[in-house]
Amino acid sequence: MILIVLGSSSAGNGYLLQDSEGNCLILEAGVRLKEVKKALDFDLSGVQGCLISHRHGDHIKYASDYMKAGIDVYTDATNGLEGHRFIQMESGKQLTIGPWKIKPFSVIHDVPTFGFLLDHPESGKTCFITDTHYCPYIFKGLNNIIIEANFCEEIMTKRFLEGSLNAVVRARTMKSHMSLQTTLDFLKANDLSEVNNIILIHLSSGNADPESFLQRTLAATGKTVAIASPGTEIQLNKTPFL
Amino acid sequence: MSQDNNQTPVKPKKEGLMEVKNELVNTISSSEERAFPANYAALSNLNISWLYMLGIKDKDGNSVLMSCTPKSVQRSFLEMLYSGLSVVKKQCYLIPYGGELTFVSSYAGDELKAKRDGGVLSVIASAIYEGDKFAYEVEAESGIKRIKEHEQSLDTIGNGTKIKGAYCVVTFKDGRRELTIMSKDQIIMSWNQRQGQGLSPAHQKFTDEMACKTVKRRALKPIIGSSNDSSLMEEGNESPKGSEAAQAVKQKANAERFDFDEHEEVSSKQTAPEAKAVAVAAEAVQAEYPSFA
Repeated sequence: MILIVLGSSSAGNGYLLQDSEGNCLILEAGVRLKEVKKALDFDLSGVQGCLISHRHGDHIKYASDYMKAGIDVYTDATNGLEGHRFIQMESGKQLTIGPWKIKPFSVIHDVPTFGFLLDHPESGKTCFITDTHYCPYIFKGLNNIIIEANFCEEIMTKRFLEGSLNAVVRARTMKSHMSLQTTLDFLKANDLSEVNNIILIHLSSGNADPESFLQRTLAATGKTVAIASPGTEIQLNKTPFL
Repeated sequence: MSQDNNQTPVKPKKEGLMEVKNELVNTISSSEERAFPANYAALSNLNISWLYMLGIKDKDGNSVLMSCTPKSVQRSFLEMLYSGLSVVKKQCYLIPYGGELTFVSSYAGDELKAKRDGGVLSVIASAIYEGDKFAYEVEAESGIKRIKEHEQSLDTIGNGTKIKGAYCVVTFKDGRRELTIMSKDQIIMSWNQRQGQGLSPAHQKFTDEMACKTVKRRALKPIIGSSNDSSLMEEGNESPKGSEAAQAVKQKANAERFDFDEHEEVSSKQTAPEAKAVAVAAEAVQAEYPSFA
């Protein structure tokens, strides 16, 4: 299994999970279809579907293009998508898409938002959490963790005091995204004994310092940590030795 | 001056104004705990101040909220709210300067801040009239000034315009007293610093009252400047919304176990080969008819 990051910021989010047989699950529809096609060598035949966490543009903007290309799009009923390619997803309702077992759960954003618990024979149990104030849940036996680390409170406060960050943006971010500290608390609360990779996603362009986020997560967990940025490819297997 | 002429060009800004108001409400309701001083109802102060300011017109007869830049409106309101003052109670003024709405604390706001943040118990100012018997001393060791005598009568007050100076006694909660004295020349010099300069009718007719305000402001300036944020730190000062949010993370984060269902379900929408066939077909159709769908 390989994780290909097409975009991981408020400019547009898109992640591809591709197994060794060519099956592909797309997470989020915030990057152009062209980018998905490029990453898949213009062969969409292996695409099993696309999961969309919520209705903000950086996650859903190109959903209708994906649907026109024959990709089943799974998201909440209130997100304004319709047609035979749209499949409603509900929190806590498990579904199977190709070789993936998926169970969405609700997280804490300013619009209804899902996180995903995924299972695949190659990657094992993987959680995908983005755009949330915190994660209400802990998970058993995770093998890979894909999680938002949006901002660092100190950086944000410094920018706010300097006047380069709007008070409204700051207040909203603090209640609808995960600070690095909240992310680290989540990681500490979960059993990481079987975790192979931790991938930090959706870092803010101004309020985060990727290098220090990496170091601090590394220090807190002792796991393989990566920062998602467009073009990143990560081996997402159950063990590092596959 | 025609009202219609004035209103036509400002109309498009109306929507922007509602946005500013909504953003302010959002900021207030999502502000972290202890953002506002104790006993300050930020949201209701925002609402009532907004209504009040809607009625304030600039020199051209336009509402100042419309004629000033939305950014400056937002900024000045936030300054007012975070200082815990009220424009309706004249504790501060929101004044348009060159198209920018500007927050200025009033002498009443200064007094409130000094009492709230600076440990001040009372602020008493008095004018010294021309016929008054007034004497004060400066303690050489400490530099502390003390009034030795101040004898005043209704005769010396007269119509209140003939003053020699004014003083202000600030009494702190711990019993300390500070005396600030200003001579008439000093007072008038400070008045000449005003925007537009010169003396307003109020300064000319109610000289003693205005002098008291001036000396109060001077006395309180260093007290406010050197105050700390204790008013934001008092127990029970968490704004309910903020503390709720902070508690939410503490209590609700990472709290519940979440896992796959015990039993395998069979709600697969379509099998992989089907999906593959459909995707290929759609690709073909899209390639052939780019405007399809």
